[in-house]
Amino acid sequence: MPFFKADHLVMRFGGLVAVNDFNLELQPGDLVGLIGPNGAGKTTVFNMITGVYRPTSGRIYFQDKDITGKRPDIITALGIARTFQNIRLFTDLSLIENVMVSYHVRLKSNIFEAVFKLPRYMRQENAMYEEAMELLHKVELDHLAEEKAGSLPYGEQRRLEIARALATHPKLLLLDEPAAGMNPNETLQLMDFIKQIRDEFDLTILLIEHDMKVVMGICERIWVLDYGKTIAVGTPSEIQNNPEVIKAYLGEEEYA
Amino acid sequence: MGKILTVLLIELLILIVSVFALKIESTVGFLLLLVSIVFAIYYGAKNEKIRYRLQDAFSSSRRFALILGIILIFIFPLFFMDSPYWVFVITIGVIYIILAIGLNMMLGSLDLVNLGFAAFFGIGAYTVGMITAKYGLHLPYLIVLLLAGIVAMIFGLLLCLPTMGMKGYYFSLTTIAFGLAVELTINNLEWTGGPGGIKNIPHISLFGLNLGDSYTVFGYDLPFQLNYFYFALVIMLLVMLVAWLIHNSRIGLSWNAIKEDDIAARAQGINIKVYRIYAFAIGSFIAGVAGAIFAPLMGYIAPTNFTYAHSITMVAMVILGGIDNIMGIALGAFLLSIAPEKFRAFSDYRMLIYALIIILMVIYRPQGLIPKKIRKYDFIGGAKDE
Ligand SMILES: Nc1ncnc2c1ncn2[C@@H]1O[C@H](COP(=O)(O)OP(=O)(O)O)[C@@H](O)[C@H]1O
Ligand SMILES: [Mg+2]
Repeated sequence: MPFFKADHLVMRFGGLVAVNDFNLELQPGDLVGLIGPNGAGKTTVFNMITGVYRPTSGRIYFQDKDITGKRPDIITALGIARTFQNIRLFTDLSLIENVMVSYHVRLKSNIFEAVFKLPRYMRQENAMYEEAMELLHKVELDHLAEEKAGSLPYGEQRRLEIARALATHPKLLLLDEPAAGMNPNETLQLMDFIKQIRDEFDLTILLIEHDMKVVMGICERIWVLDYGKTIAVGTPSEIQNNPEVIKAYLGEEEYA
Repeated sequence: MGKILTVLLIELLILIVSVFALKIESTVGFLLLLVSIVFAIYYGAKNEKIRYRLQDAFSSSRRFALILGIILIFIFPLFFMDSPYWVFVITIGVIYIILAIGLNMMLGSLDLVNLGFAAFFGIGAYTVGMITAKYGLHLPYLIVLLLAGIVAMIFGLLLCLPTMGMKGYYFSLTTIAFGLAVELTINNLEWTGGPGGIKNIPHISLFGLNLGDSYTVFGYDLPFQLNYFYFALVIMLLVMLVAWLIHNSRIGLSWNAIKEDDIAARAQGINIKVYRIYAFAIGSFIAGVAGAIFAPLMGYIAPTNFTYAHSITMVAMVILGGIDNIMGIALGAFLLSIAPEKFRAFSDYRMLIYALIIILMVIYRPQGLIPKKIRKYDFIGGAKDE
């Protein structure tokens, strides 16, 4: 059984087949890209994996467990974290709180210990705080720890969202268009950063990207979706020369 | 030293203004005072210099400010020894502060606009009325208080479960229906006394003291209402402490995360159902406790004490004072429970005024008079919001 497996996933919204027969296997340490034009069904794949949608049919396996249709918080606890295409931070909370929210899942103390600040809870909360600060340091935001997340510029919000996802201690990290809205230079830095966290935290990463060029540099394998169908799977160079892929992307450019 | 003096002066000023506000006879005078309080807070908060000085003074002598504040609140009713009625009004104010803090756990922390919260208040009060007056059971009062909280909590969970997935208008509409259902039920059931309610609810007796008795201290005959005031005050301080601890624990943080974005909160591993249950359970328990003080203070309760209008009033208190800020909520609840006494001439327009307050606040100052503060984490010690 592979580390992660999506087996014949189908997602229907009424008459629309958003994802049709999607199959994916990941091994630990993979850094895989999921690309395709707008509306191809990429985000929907993430939503099925993370339990936001229950697939119309098909199964999802993660570390020998069938996780199809489980609650999002349970899936997170099992070790799958994500970021969102349209950043979903807790804008009214401080940066450090955004990160600390994610730790609460793993705390062993009960609510009475938490409310009355009993020693065990305080020890855990302390350790948690320090680790959260470290994560903020990693994304170079520790000096803003007590600012509201909503006050950050766009690029920094994206980094904070990654830090928040890392705080859940994931084994599989799903990044939904993390480079959207960034300039080429920022994008390059981000891709470096993604490789770096994969190695440092022993992650397996599945990365959605709309712009094909971005993922070519860092992904070892790439899945290409178009209108819900997987039209190509392969290494970056195979994908680049695949006529179907070129057609899908050309079609989009003509449209745009 | 200068900071301590600032704190002392500010708190004394608040005391004097509050006493004055209650003593003032003319409606116009009270209105002017009210408007100037609101403006003073508004512009004081806007002026960086003043705000910084005050924040600095209060945060560097936090313990002093707190203890002094509590002492002054204890002294407060002694200015009204000539009119027990005002002591009664202030006590009702304290009860409403307790209610508003309970409501805030849904309304403020989770953005669940509960428009039937008076039902839990009523259920708590009726629990006491039924036990002590109707069935004449002689249980220790603290047990009765606990039972009132628990019965209200059970109803809270009864409302929580079917509304689990609801947000926004759907949730609010359902809570209106719930509030009306409870009100109509106690109004129509013979078992609960119907529209006539429950009469002759005995006074609280606690540790051998009867709160209905007038005690003599240093030769002064103190009105019995004062006993209730102090009792309600102690409960209020306890409720505030617990609410503050919860707000600064992982529960408060998770509530706020869910309020901001429930999808993101779930993706961080938060089980939103469990946290919603906490809010309903604790919030309605607190309302039940408030009811348990209210019933024996009044001696007589009826369905008309726990109507939709009361629910709206509680919502207005939280929104006016400041969502998720305990001091703000206390201010809002106190202002709005005193105001009707001052505006007797306009009592027909009371609901209109509350509606206006909610609309104006939502438009111009959605965070309330005293806005929520960002929690500070100064380890070791955990989160503090003040
Ligand atoms: N909740 C939903 N209800 C109906 N249609 C949806 C829903 N979510 C996504 N879709 C549709 O599914 C298709 C794929 O969307 P999405 O996965 O967001 O595409 P991508 O992320 O590749 O741009 C789109 O046509 C979109 O409109
Ligand atoms: Mg998308």
